[in-house]
Amino acid sequence: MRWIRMLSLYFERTFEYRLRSLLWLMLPMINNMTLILFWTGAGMGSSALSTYYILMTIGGLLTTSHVEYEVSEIDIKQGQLVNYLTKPISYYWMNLLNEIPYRVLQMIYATTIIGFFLLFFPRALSITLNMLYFPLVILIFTLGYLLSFTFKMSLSYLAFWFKDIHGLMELVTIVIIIMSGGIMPLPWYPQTLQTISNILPFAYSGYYPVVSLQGVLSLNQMITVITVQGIWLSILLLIHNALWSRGVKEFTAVGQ
Amino acid sequence: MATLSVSHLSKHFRIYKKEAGLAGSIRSFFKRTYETSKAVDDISFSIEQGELVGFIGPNGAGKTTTLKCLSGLIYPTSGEINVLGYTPFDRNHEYLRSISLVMGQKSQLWWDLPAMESYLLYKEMYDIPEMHFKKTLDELVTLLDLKEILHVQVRKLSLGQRMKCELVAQLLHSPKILFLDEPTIGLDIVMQQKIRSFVREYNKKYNATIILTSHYMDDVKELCKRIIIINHGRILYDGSLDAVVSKHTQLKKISIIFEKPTTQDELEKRGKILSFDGINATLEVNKDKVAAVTGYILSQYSVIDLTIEEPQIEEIISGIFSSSKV
Repeated sequence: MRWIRMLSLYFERTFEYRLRSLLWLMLPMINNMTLILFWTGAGMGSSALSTYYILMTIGGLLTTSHVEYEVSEIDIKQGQLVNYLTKPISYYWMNLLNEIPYRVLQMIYATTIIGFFLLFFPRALSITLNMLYFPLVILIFTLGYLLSFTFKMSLSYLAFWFKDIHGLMELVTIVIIIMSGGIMPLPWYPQTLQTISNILPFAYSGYYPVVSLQGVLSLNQMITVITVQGIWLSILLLIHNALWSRGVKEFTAVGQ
Repeated sequence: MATLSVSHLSKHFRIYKKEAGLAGSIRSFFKRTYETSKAVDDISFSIEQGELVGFIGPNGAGKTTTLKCLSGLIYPTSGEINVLGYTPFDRNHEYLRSISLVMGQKSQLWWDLPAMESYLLYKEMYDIPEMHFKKTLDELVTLLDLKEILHVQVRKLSLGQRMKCELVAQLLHSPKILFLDEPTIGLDIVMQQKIRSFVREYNKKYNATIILTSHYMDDVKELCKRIIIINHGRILYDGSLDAVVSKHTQLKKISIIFEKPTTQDELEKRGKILSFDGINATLEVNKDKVAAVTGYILSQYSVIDLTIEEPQIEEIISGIFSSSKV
């Protein structure tokens, strides 16, 4: 109950910034609309492809964590971490609680977008998902988000050691976009890149949640995705905990 | 057993040094030079339950670093700290529920929401029972006169109002130990006085152990019987405020207003004349001779007013910092 009450307070806070959330929704939408236009112009447009990009926009909103700036720049570099270290709650959980309402708000927008397309452009969106599998899709999306969140938290902790990790963040973001199928569906990649993408965790927080919602994956494939997500989440949590316990010893809270 | 004990605590920081100019930048691109700064250097002290201790020192003396170590924010380079049986850096949740760190001019409240929303969050964070929360909040709001602003967005509050709201947020869980880092910084005199009264009241009411750092000597004078003076990371003095004042008050000032214009020849023989204009005079005399000199002046001159002044505590402390001797 305590966690739910805390979560509801974070919801209150998030709803204060409804415009911010809407603006962040527009950005990937416009980006992916450009990609649909590109492939259509190249004569490769199809209902499946536009569905992929529309769902990739929505999937990105739901499963991509944007915690890195707040953690590395504001909390670690500028020292706001001081506010959390004296509180009897884990920093990881506090950031997660802080992000969940934002994701829920995005989900509301995302549902509206899907509804909009289904109503006005039914041919642009083809979802063949068996609704019996929908709970598995929700699980895949949840684990996908946790993978992204834990990875971004861990990456942000590098700010304990390095003065400026902004460039590194940008580099990693590009790698994530490519490896998670943000540019194009993974089967379109060269075989080596496909193999690498399937080994790294990024596709499991981008590409696989999207194709699971699209209805492309079989039950067995969904279970495999969930298993790989579970393994990666365990690995990332171990890395996260190791980086946190070492990094926080480097924290100097200078000027605070 | 002491509530808080610190033994041989040191905190060193590695600082990157760069020569000014382009050449320095190029050199540092290939090879960086680092120096070790001893923010806290082998200090030891202990504090009993209910004590209100003033931690005094100039900027960069090591006061805040010590408080950060005590509250578990930063990891000490060496030494041992024991607070209520806990090692602060372990950040045991029970320990964190027993302490509070208040940093002046630093907001821990949600900026765009009323303070009440942050209080509700802290209630859940600290797992404060409903009844206890209501009772404590009522008490604190009354003590600090905050009823009218509890539901106003934090960003719309004045600095003084915000500081009071911050204090409430940090005290809702009724901490047994309070670390106050410059709690009155930037506040006007009236608000400083209110915060001081509140801290004194909180100390008495809850028998709370309080460590206070402040640049305002009035905070220390009014609140702390015991002071710890720190400079360059080392403790220069740990004891009663009265004792350090007495020890360093070898000289006193006698200010006199004469009824009629007089000359300074005789006065010069009694002490050092700091100022003289015929009617007003200020003498500096050794504290052992104060009685004799005042007796002489009152018997020999027609005097309208005579006052004996102790040197300002600020002067004494500043003297200690500059000589680094106690």
